[in-house]
Amino acid sequence: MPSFRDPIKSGLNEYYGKLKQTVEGLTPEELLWQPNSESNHVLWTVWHMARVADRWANSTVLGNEELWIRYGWAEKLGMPTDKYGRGETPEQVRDFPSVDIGLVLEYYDVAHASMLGMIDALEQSDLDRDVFAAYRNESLNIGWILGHILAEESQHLGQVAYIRGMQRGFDG
Amino acid sequence: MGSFKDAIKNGMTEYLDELKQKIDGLTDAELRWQANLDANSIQWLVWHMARVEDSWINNNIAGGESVWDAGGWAAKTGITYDNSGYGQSSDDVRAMPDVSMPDLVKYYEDVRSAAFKVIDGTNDEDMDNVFTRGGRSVTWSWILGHVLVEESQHLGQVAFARGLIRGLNN
Repeated sequence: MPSFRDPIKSGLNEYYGKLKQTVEGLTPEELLWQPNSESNHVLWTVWHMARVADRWANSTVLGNEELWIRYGWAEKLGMPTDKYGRGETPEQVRDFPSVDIGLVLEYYDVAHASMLGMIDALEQSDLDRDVFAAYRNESLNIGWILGHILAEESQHLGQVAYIRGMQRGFDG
Repeated sequence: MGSFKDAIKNGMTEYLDELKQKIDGLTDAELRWQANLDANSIQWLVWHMARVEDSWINNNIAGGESVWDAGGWAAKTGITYDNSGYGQSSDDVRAMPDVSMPDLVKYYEDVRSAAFKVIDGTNDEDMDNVFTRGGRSVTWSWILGHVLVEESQHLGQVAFARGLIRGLNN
């Protein structure tokens, strides 16, 4: 039975599939390269995208503990449990640990799967509901959140592609 | 009453509103700046975003004329590209004429009004409809998801280019 739930899931899978293609083959140096001292690098951006997916889906919408904490991803990656990326300074981005992108993507895989599960679990009536996003200190409508996830995550994908393009050139 | 359809429209509203914020106050030179010879300028990206939405929704889903053609926007803007920018070379991007940004934004707003009318006129069952061109078939469901992802990606690039020019949060 087709529904408007489908384009949302299709979009979620599209940006995630494209992200994996876009980071393919980048060296650890390329992953940490910044075009200037205030820019985010690819590794930070991918990690932040995974954290965004986990936080919106599991913590904010479903009201559960983040996978980051529940399955020990913070510990595996050697980062604080509350580290998330929003509002970080250029110094924090620069000092980001050179973690294995494979491990970050393993975390993102489970976060992405949980996002798709969250979409399936929502009833139409849930889209009118507000949930409290503690880290933003505001109540947000679930229907707004779904559109926002697609817009935010895809923007970051566009930035990853842009940074790759700056290093490798057109289609490189 | 919220719905998944509204969630899609919310995402579209978000990326267009944010795009307007990201180009606010940029000079003509900044709008045409390229990070390197192969990089797209902000002006090109804004035009491409509007054309992409127009083409996917007003042409391909609605099966009607694009706002670009119906509104005579090629003549109004002086942009003579015969496509929406897909697959253009670096030379094509560099050769884009100076365009009035308020005109481009007006065109994008017209595209958006038409696109929302098209989306309002669709229902759940329509999501399985298939659009075919050049031997490639995609569902309307794929198209709507793709529009959100592609447009937002380009917004991210506009924001990144602005950051390279102006620095963080400027």
